[in-house]
Amino acid sequence: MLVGVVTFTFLLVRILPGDPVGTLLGPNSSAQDRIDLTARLGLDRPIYVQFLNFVVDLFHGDFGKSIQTGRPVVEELGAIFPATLELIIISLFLALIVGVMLGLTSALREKKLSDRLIRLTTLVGNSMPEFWMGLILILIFYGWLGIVPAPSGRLDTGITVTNITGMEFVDSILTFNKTAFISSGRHLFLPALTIVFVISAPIIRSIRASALEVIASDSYIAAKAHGLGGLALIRKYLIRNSLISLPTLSAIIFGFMLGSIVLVETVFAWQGFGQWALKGLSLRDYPVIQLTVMTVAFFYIIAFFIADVVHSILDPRINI
Amino acid sequence: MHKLYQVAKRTFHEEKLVFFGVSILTFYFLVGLLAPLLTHFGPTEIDFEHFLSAPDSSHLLGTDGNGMDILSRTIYAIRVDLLVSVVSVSIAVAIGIIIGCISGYFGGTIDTALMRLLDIFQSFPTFILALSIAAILGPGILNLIIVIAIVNAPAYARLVRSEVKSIVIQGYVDSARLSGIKHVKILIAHILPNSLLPVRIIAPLNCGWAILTLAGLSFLGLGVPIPEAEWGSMIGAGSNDVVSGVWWTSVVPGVALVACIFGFTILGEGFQERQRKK
Repeated sequence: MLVGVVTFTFLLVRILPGDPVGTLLGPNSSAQDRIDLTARLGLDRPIYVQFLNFVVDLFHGDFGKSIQTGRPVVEELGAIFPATLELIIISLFLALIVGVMLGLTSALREKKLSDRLIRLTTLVGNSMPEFWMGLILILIFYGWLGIVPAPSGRLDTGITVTNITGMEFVDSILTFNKTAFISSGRHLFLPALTIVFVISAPIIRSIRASALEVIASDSYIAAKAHGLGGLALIRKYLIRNSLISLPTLSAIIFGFMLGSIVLVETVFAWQGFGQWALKGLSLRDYPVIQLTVMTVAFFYIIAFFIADVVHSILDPRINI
Repeated sequence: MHKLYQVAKRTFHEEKLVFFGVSILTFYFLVGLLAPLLTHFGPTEIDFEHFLSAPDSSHLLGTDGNGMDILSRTIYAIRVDLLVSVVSVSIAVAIGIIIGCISGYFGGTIDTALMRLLDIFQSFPTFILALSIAAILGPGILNLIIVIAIVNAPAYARLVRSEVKSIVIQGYVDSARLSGIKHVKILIAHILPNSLLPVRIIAPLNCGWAILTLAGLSFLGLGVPIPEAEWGSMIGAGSNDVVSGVWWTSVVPGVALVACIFGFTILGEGFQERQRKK
């Protein structure tokens, strides 16, 4: 699987029209300069030779150097990826809490006003482009109310935090750095809110659908008929059985977010993985594009693996 | 006309979601069609006396930084967005049907090879795939249609394949085959009509996603090139204004965008509900 993805990407980036040499040297470069640089980057060799070199380097743990900056791409990725991961994971975590609560409420009050309102919100959330949602939040909270910092970056200028994980918010907690904690929390607020609103929608839908199934099931009706009620009924019967589809759904959402995080990052100038990848793509920086795709594919697999494990814990009938 | 009214009345009572979905989309279709009659300005017409001016009597919803009328552009953008989404989803469905039929009907090595190919396509998050292909092809409406069609086709191929597979084993297909009818004719006459139900349910939802993808790509500058009127690129162009509290350049096209996708979403939701009731 991963092999197919790697090969496909390798070929894909090389059929991109426009070449990295052109974007690096600019339109006024001489033909000789271009030829020299192409040779130095090894791009004049036949595709299969380039591919073999690439695979051999890969096995040595060498993902190549960025054509634009000359730095190893792994190093660049390590510097920016944690920030994106932090944003996605915090948002996903919050969305799961919101989604489960609203989904259960909606199912327990089926066809009542709160159910209708929640379903309407879900449908709107399904139709909402995250980049526009982000802009609206900026307009309200920054443009009009002025209670959040300007949408540029992850920390206010002048504030630093000791780098442990690369995730500013987590680092500020680990180092008990109160100013950095407040600053990064304030920067995190709007992008996280944006993502939470958009990704809660499918979670609410899924929880509501499976909770309705549980409510209609024989075991639930029997438990209720035996006089079990209130929290015990909800906790032991409803929640546990409704959550079964959640791990897989979370993995799908995680992969989806990793793919489209660039939209949110662009709105909030987050300077993370998405913007890095987009820049690499538009400048035809081959090693950057290759590592981007491999990273996404890798985290996709990891996410589904974690989902399978959690799934088997929730549902003991499943063996992995 | 009377019959149309009857159908509308019945749909309104029994299937509110479908009714509202169709209403919203019909509204968009008509406004897009009648755009020249409804607007005072062309979509790329520049008013040199009003740059970034707030909504007033001459420009009902204001102008953008280039002096172009927001209302006119938002209305004209309907044409681009609806065209791209409907055409690209139709192409995706067509490709999906062809691949799905071949794969599901013949099975064996062809099936395995096609499915592995789809695996590779589907192992990328759709937006990353769309971004990469859009970067290869460059901006432009035709290219966007191709991008969105390619990105969505694998899902239809799988859907059709699984339906075809469940139909192929039916007795009537065997008897058709034994009576010497050609494969193509069996596929078209006996299998295809029975395998399209899930496609019909998913397609409207998919048109909504297609507009989301289109707008996202345009927002990043990889979609419909400026000054062509398209909601995503309009939002992108207005995105720097919001920090100074200028709302109309991005809010207006955004509302149009969300309402249009909402129309597709509730239509798809309504179809799903109808399916569940059966």
